[in-house]
Amino acid sequence: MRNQSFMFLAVIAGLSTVLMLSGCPKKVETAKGTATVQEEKVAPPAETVEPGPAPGPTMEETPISREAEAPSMEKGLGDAFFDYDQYTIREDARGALEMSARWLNGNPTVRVKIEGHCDERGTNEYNLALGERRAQAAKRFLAALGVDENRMSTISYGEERPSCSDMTEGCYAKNRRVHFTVQ
Amino acid sequence: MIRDGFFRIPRLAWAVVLLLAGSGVGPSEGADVFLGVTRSEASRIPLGLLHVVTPSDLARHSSEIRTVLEGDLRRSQVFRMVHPPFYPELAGGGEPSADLVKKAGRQDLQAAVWISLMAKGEDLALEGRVYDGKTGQMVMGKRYLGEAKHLRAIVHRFSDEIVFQYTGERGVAGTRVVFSSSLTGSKELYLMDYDGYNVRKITNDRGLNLSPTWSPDGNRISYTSYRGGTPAIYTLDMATGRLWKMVGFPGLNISPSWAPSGGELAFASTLDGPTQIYRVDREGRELRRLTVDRSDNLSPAWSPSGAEIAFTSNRGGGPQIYMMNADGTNVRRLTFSGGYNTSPAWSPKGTAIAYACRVDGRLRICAISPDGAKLAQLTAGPGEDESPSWSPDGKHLIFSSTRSSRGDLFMMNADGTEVERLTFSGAKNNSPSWSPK
Repeated sequence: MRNQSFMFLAVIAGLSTVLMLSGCPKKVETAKGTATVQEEKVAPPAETVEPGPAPGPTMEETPISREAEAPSMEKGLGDAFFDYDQYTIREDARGALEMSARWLNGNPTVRVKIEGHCDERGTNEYNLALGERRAQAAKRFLAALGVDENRMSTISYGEERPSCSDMTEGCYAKNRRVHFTVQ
Repeated sequence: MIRDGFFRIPRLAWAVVLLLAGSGVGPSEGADVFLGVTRSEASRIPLGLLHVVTPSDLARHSSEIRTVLEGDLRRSQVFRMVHPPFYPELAGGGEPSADLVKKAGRQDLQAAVWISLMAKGEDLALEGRVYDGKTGQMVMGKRYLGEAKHLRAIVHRFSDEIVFQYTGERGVAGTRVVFSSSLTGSKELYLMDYDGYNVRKITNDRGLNLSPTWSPDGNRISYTSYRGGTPAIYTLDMATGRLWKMVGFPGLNISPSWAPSGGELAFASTLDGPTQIYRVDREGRELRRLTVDRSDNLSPAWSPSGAEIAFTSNRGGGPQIYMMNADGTNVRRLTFSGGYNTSPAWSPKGTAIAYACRVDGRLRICAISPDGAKLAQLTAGPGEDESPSWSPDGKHLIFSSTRSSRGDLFMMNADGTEVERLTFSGAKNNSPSWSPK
């Protein structure tokens, strides 16, 4: 590429010299024909940036790491895990949710947000619906164990906030979860 | 069989079509024409760039002009780029003579392009001409004035004009793509030119901004944002910068899609329990529920006429593509092959619906005719592909893929050929939406 442009310049320089030496170049017939050159101003379409962070509740600035999720575990609100593309409560998830129900029933003033999460393998929008199903399933399970529904809200993050970022089955299994945050 | 100028299906897609035909699942004939008009290499018009004239202080722009123009015209599927020899007569800066163009024409050049770039005050003036190789006569001439930083946009404009001259339909080189990216750690929306250049961030709330989509006039972008705490649909007016919450029911409000008239927005919400599809008018009022079902229904995609909506539903178990009339009546299932089919995108000419299909455990891009008779798998290889979006001329699809990274955007012809990587950020880039013009 670069070599070509050098050659190009050299040819141009050489030719200009020839033209200068030979005086005025002969006028040549140009090929304009009947078409005319139309003029047009070019400016890309207007684009603006949205006006910045919203007032009121905003999201965490960094992706949630497993460390960041630890506090709710100490409170006795452990994550419950799901099978791929499923929102039915597994046997091991029953245990986790029963523990959470005991803790919530023992701390009746606490309100929790139940987050539904998915692994990254499905499509983004479908995973938002699936995450909502998981959060709702956990909420119904807890309500059946006596936790007042008014203390629980749900939100789906789909695959957008993984707790583990490797592309392995072990990681995917950790990301298919409901997670509690105390409000 | 395959006619000149018609869609030529790639070998892989044929394999799938034949496989499906053999197993009695799907299409058997006609799949070669339903995806559009990707021309075979031989039927493309041979076009060459004769010369880019610049004064010496602008010489640095000449290779960029050449690269942008040739890239645009190659992608147009109308032209085949040929490289004419260098004609010393052009070195002086003058326009080509009819004899010179005819000489080039004898070297298999049906169309010859000549460009001259000049400074005009602070700005640049680019004059582009197209000559007919047979007669040597100019068939089109344009002079563009614009800022130096918009040089790529100027060349794109000229490319689109050339495509228009030869086909009667403008090219898509001047279009843009909006997408969601994890580049900064959160998920923000970005715009880029159709060829992946000039990436710029358009949201700034450090939260989750997902599933952007254009209004049909290209003036608004609607998307799902968690900026108010819960997922709601916001609309950003590109000219004024006004951002407003358009749909914010309790729970999930996702997958916005503008009707072709621009008068209505379809979306999915958990307003009444499971995720259902609704529509509102352009101000977010006049709510109408379209799906009535106990399963999840989402990702509405309007037909170009506005009469029908394709969507994802798991009413039959796993997610599949369904169709309904725009008032919610006449629901019928479109996809039957495979257990996971999502994210429909209706082609601008109405002849195909692209979607993400799971084949042998991996997500791919598939396309199906609206009557379900013709089906093709368009992508293969490593990684997973999802979120197809059509170019406004229906000749290309953009999609996200993990084939070479955590998630980048790729462009391909509507028949799955000529896959080209567009982003290289190392972040998760997904949910691309191609601007309508």
